[in-house]
Amino acid sequence: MRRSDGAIRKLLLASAAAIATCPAMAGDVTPERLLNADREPQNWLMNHRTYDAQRYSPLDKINKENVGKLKLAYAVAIGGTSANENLQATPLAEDGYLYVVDQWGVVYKIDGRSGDMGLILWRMDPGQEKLPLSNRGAALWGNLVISSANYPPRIIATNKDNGKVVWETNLSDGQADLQLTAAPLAIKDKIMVGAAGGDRGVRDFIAALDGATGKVAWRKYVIPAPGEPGSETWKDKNNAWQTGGGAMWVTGSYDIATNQLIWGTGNPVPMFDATYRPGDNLYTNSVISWDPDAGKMNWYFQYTPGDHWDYDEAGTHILVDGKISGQPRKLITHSARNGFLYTMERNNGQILVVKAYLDNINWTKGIDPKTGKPLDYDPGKDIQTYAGTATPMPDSPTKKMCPGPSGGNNFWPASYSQRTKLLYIPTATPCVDLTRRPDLSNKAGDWKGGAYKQIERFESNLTVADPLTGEIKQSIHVPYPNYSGTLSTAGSLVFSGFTDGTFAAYDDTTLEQIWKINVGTGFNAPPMTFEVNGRQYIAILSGLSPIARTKHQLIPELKEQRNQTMLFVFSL
Amino acid sequence: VRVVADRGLRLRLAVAALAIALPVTAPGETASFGNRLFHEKADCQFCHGVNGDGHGDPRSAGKGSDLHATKLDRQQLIEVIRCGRPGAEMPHFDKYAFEDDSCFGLSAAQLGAQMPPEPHSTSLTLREIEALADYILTTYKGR
Repeated sequence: MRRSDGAIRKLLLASAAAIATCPAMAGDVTPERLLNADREPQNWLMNHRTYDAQRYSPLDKINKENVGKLKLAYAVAIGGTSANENLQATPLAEDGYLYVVDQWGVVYKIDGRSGDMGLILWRMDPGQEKLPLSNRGAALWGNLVISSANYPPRIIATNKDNGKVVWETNLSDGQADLQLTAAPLAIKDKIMVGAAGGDRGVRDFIAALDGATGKVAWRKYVIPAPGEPGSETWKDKNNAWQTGGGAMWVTGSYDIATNQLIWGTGNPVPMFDATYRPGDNLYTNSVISWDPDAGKMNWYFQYTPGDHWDYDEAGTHILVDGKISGQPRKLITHSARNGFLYTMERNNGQILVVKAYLDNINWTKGIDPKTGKPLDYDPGKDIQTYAGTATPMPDSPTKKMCPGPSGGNNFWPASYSQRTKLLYIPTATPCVDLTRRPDLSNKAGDWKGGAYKQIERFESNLTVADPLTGEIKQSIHVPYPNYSGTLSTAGSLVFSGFTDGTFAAYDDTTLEQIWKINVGTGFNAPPMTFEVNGRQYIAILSGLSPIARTKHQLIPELKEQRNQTMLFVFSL
Repeated sequence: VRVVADRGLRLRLAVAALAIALPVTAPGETASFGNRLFHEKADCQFCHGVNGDGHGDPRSAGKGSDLHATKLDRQQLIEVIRCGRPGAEMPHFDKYAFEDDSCFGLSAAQLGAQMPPEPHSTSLTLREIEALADYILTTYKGR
């Protein structure tokens, strides 16, 4: 009996030792952990890593002194069921496990703890029809991975341990082309979801679902119905509000202190024909502050009223603190698709700083620094002409527009370094020839309202700007599109990917390119970083969307480039 | 022994010649081939829509035509797929289309800025272009 007790003791001791040496088991991602996501430098718990959407990591084991030795640790094939797949998601990381979503809404849990292999532990396949679409990632909440899927548009909660679906909510509201492509955002007991598909003539919305059950707590449409505040800015007789767009297809940010959900909205539809929808078209091309508990709108700011150019502002709104005119401020900064950098008061959207970050903007003469509105905006006009240079008119339907419809900055996120207090903005630089076509301002015309033609190589800048002054500190030009975004780290580095397949690290002060690799397949997903077992990794998903590949039309050296959907993970 | 070997060789050559003369794929396979080209490899659906009705991705640069309403015959379809449409967004799927004047009697230099773009997906062989034209004729045109 005593020998037996001794054996049990040995067994228990051995087990305890094993537990002590194993990495901690992944626990529930509680609301408290999400509020304090910055205190888990080893993890990347939500789409933008932290609620402020800074995409900054305090990890510094990979730094500008040693990044030259960065090499591929492992790669994982993702998808593989269609020839034209693409990946746009930011992987999530918790305790060495990665969670990625492919184009078809399939969620993968990947064990990256070994550091030399990414082992797929489970896949949750929502059985989505393989139609062209995008998917920008998942959220972690409790013991669930929350993701979107389409046809029909759904939010799905998957058990993090075994990959089994816990709940599934169909968010269809009768609009056939409604899509869900943004990564959900978990706040307290709710899951925030922005709707997409606006360009197809969808009236988009933002919704909150109960995290435990998936039940819809509230849903608010971006385009007001007749009689609602803002409906007076839809002056047409076409019922354009019903097909007006305003998609919320990029995940927003959240201010913990004031309980504000900050989310950008997309363009009005038809995207290139303002004459179909006279008026300012609220609340498109805007940033909106919502109360995440009840769905009440706190305030809004509209960037480009009565848009002619697809200057959608769904891209990230980054929360920063800093002094302006000697006064400490809580701020929101946004590198807008229309080519200007805006910094505003977080409590009310009052514009404090606005500066161009592109040097070829031709649609307006500039932005009024007091109001944030274009200098040539006329509130008395139903159809804005702005500078006139880029505005298609009935007697001159084709105009050269700069920036082109892609921007500027777009869904590829800028990052903000807490080390340098600067923004790192990936930005498209080309102009296009835009033709307004009212014959396409209907369902038969796919609500396009126009068409555009590329007239120059689609290239990009990586631009460093001070959000407190708008001053451009550095800018480098890259001969390929940046559809990826940036990651800033405490290692004095900025990472970004390009559609030619280059993934690179830059000095965050000089923008000197310190390291690069070309993997042969392009990137239109943002990079992220995580740490496990004391080792830092940089990860990014590859695989270009058809729209990204059309940007190669005037880049002849890439015409034979092939496309692969992969997860690449790098380390020292 | 030599005679037997010659006969064997002749037989193999005859079988090989017969195989070359016969269609490589049955009609059903051609439709399937064209379908996969349209929806996957060539990604025609990006502009022309998954149902070929012209309702493509709204972010595509131009406006894809409704293939159900096309007036083009087989040869014309092959020409448009091979050569694209000058001045428009329809790409040329024959990568060598404008190396000579076999497309519209024009070279790339003569077309200048009106040169049809490269496809965002991939170029196709003539065999694939023919299968695609057949698929459009049997699946979409007039239906």
